[in-house]
Amino acid sequence: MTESEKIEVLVCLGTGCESAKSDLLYDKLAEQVKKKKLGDKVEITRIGCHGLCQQAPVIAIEPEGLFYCQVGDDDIAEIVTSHFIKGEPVERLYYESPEGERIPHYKDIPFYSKQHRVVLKNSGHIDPGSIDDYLAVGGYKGLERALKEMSPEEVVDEVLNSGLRGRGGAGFPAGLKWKLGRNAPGHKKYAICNADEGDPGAFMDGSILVADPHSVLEGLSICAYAIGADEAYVYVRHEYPAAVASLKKALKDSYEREFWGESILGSKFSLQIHLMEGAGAFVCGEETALMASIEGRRGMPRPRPPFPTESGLWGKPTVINNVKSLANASVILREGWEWFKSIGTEGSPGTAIFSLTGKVRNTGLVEVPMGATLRNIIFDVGGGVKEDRTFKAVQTGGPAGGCLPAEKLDLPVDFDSLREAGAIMGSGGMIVMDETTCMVDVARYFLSFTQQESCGKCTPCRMGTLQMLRILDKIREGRGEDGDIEKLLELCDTVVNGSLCGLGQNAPNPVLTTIEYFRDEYEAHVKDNTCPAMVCKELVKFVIDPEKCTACGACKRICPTGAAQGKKDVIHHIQQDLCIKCGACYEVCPPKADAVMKIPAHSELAREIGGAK
Amino acid sequence: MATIFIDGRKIEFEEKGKTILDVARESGIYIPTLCDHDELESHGGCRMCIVEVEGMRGFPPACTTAAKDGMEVKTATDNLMTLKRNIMQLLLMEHPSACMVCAEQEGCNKYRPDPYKAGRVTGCTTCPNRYTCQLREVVEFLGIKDLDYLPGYKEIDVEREDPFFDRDYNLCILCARCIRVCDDVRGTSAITFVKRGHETRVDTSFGVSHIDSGCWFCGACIDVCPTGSLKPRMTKWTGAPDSVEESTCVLCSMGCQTQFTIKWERVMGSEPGALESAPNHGHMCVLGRFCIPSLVNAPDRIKSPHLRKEGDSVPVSWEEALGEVSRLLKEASPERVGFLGSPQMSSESAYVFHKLARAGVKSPNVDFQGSDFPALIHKELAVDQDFARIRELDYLKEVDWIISVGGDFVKDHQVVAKKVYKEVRQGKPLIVIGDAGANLHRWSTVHVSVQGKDIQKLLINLAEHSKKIPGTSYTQAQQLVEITGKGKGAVLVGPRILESIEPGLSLRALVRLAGVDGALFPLFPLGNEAGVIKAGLRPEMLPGPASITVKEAKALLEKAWGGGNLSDGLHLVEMRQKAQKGELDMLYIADGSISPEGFEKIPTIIYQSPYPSEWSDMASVILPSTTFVEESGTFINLELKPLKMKPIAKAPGTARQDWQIFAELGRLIGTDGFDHQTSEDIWEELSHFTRSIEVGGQKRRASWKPASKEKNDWYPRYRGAVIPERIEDLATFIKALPRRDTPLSDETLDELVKRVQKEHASRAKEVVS
Repeated sequence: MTESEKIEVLVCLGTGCESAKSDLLYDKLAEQVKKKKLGDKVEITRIGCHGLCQQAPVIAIEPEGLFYCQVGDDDIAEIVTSHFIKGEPVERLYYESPEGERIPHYKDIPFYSKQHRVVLKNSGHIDPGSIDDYLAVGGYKGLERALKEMSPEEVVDEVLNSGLRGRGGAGFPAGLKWKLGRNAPGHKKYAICNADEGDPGAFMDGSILVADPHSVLEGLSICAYAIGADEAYVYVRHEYPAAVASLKKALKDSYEREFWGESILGSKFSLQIHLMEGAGAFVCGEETALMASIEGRRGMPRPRPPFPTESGLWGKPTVINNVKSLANASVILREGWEWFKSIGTEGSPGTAIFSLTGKVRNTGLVEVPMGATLRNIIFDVGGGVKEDRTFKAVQTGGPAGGCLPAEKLDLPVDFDSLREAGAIMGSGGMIVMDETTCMVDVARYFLSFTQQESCGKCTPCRMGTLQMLRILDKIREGRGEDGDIEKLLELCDTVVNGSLCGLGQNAPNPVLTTIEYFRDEYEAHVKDNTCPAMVCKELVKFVIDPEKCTACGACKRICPTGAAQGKKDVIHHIQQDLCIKCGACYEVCPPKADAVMKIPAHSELAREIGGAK
Repeated sequence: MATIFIDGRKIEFEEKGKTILDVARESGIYIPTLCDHDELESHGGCRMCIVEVEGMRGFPPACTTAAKDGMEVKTATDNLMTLKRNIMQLLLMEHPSACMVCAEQEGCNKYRPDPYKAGRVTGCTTCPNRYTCQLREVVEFLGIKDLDYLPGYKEIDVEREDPFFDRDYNLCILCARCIRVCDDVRGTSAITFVKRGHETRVDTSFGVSHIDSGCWFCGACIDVCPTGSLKPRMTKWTGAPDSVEESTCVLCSMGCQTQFTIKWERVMGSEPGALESAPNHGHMCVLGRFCIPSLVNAPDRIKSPHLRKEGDSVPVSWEEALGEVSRLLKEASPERVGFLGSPQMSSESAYVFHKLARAGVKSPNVDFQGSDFPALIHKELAVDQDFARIRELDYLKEVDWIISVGGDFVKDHQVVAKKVYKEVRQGKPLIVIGDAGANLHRWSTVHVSVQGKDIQKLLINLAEHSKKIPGTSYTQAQQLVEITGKGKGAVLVGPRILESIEPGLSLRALVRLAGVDGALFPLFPLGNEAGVIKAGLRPEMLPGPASITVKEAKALLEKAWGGGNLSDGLHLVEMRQKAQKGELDMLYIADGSISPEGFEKIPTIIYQSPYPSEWSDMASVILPSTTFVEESGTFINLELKPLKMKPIAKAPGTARQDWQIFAELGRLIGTDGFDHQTSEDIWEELSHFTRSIEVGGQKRRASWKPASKEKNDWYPRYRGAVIPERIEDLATFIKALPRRDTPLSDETLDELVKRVQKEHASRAKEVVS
């Protein structure tokens, strides 16, 4: 048996798969392989996020590129006997397209075939714990090229020419930042990797750190070399234990191979890298707060200027880059800026990485060239809205981003067009919403997050978001008044213009965009006391259509308060004063009957139906 | 010169590091601020100073934006004012603000001048900060007449558990001034922001009490607070004062310029003087900030002279009492009378006391408690005439390193500590020799924990740049030599230097170490030691101070006083020894803080003090004197700078100033030269005598006694009043100090992390099994 014929089993241990117990699958596979003595025929590798989290847990079989989805405990035995021993892949575990077709190879699955993977190229394909795997795919070639063939200024120019823009959200040209750091006076400088990813629903940076940590460390070393820093920090959020572990391992391995430390790769360049775990504050993703946190102070932003490139960590010039920016930098140094510039758009070269979540068929990690439209991402890669519901809006840029409606689906995704539309690129969260989403509720959700995570330093952010939240709650609960929307808009203006840092300045974005694009929905809440999406609890009620009820008793059994009442063969009804609107009856009512209905709380029809027994 | 345009006005300014706010203020343009404070670094939190700058995005805060040449700034466009009003409205959501927008405000201010005492502050009428509220000023400037949003009450319990001041964070607007002053200026870091979002508030880490958090109760947080959140409990509700007077605090040797609030001719409160006024520049310590009103208004102050008649001490008139004293003094045999003054008297009082003893009674037996340390300083500096080394504390800026020996100034000289911390924070090395509390330990670059005799050897070797330094490791010794080897140093020396075998040698080693341009700061513990030494109140000294062995000085004094006993006499220890043997007939004691132990056998004791003490029961005559807020005189601080004390409050009963009593007695005895009318006259007279100390002339007098450890512990007294015994809060605080200064364990941070990880792992194992 030759090496090439060896079956390589890649078990995904990304967050999605791990929470679907893929670690148990790994153990079980290992046990079975050992039991059946397949050790020299089958090699099992743990990999980072493969991307298609919707189908978790997933297993990829290389070199054929077969892809098993939603693998269960019980499937392992079958995979081992049928696939590994008999050579007959288990077809029922292949990916099933919405049309019912089974697709054996992941590269043929639209989710993958429509992507363009640059930064995520290694994710899900190499063992993140093995530096040799990374070296085998050209890893650290970028650093080697920088150190051996280029001066720091040339490295800065390379990144400057590539047009790479910071992937942390604001899209500031990375090369320019490096140049500012390079030109800042002083001998002591710092490079920092910002891995404090905290947006709800975002998991790009965490996934990259778990799946391909060396690409980030390589980028960090390149950055440090370019700006002339001899110390670097990786500030990673403590709530990413897998990323922390992966980074620790990667730091140890790369130190042993002299990719950082004294005289890197025999050059005169030395670099110390420290790993720093955050303490769980969202605002520490803001660069000045992050530096305060590293310095041992409370993570609170300070006004800029001075920018970190002038006065950063401990008052020294500092360049802070996002995980993805650094991973891109290592690719740029390896492949050259011309190659990088050929991807994406003129203003935003390269690719955009999103964690696609929400009411979309294929949730997961997505990388597309900049300039791809929202439609490309959501429908081509994401497979469209779940359960064939209607697309309503997409939220980009995390809690400080904006919600864009269906009219904007053909908007090309890049830094500038998103900002123009009122949303932001952010660090790459993308949440898809369908008709069952209430935009007031969504705005409130995001705002409640930023409100809680405000550091409390400046008044507009601390109190303004709270006041906005109160008004949104009022609207959601049907107590909205004329003028509330205008008051909200004024508050948005105060918070945007008055706040100290990006957190406050962008916090009103969800509210601003939902009012801009879905004002009718707000007005329905305020004027008609109705929630068009039937989400806001106070504005809906659950009733049972007597015409449809089959008296199956499902609603009565599940109702936690005894509001759903009825007897055998007697049509059921819901006693409104007992109902807490948990919606359990609505969920449980058999589709055949579809008798439980959600209707506006004040609707006339409701009284008639509710009254009829 | 650079040019900037603010609201169309052309302003020229020096570009160096100035912000827009600085430039605007200098040229009299008002920009409202709340979180900004002269002494603190810019914060940028309150957003009240936001401006528009041509060519800059958004609304940058004036307090953090550097003023640059050619900038065009607008401070009050409609846009800005609306924005500021909106932000202020949001701020008022979290502050009881009803009174600020009340239509009846004017009438209320007029007819209800003082705040109503209330359990909870609900508006300005019930707020102790009614007269000094900076929030109200800004609200008025912005012209807010109505609230758009419902104000919320944070429902935080008013914190009253800790000593001295109440904290009502319901009034807090989170400007972080208190946190910044505690952290950046005082170096204590007792408080911080906790929680996030609108729940953010000021608290200690993990919510421990202030005592446990390391708070020194210096009151700096209160002084910078723009609202009524932080208030001294004692003086919170006294309302607007009748007047505010600035004078000198004498409770330690710093001589802090203090603003006393006066109401009904009494001191109601004490706050640090203005930021500009030296030496304390707007800072104080726990004693000056919180203890003065209770101390000087004590109900048990002696109000009239007392004579012992048939065993009972009964109130008599001054005439009778002074008549009796003068009779006693005249009849006594001068060699058998002792005079003990107080380091907490004014220099003038000490001088007249000295004159009364030597010229009036012709007794050379004069001394005061704690005189050894200031005498040592004077004598040793006289060796090479190094008095210029005692400089102003601001000179700390100029030196390259700082060394502290013989005391923990964080404890007994908090304002000195503040000044040292300012330098330490900027990276100036601090060497601490001997015991040090938690703060000093934390600030120090090198801390050598040696005791007694080793200190002397250490200092002498160090002064010779030898690396053989007892009590240090090799690296420590190397570090010490490296730091002290270059530039000039500042020496902070406390009285525990007396514990070394030859304190003189230790002190001189320190002076050598600091270098010619170095500085020496003697941390006298009790108050006006330097002033009393200036009056020469030691048996071997004369006013100036001069040595009795210096003929010229003696002659000058003889001429001025018309004679008197200018020979060497008994010092405090010798007086006690003589008293025990029954060889002392009379003691005139003006300091109740001296222990009466050993003096029991003296038949006649004249006790003069504002406060009763154990001496009151032994005294034949009691004479009530005034405290430092009721007398005029001069206080000489540790920088040897004369500072004036003013009579700003009325003394209780018929109490008189010390010098008045001594001068009257002098007149009654019939000696010339006691016709002083004012303290200025006396100062004038004292100023004629200049420093003239004979080197080596006092060898016999080297009686430095290593005082016991307890005695050196910080337990502040004022002329017989033991302050902690009178102020419970102070006692609570002092009691907690040893506990705070003991580290919880010797574990390093790394060890702690390892231990906790291990514990977690074993706990996890337990859960699994």
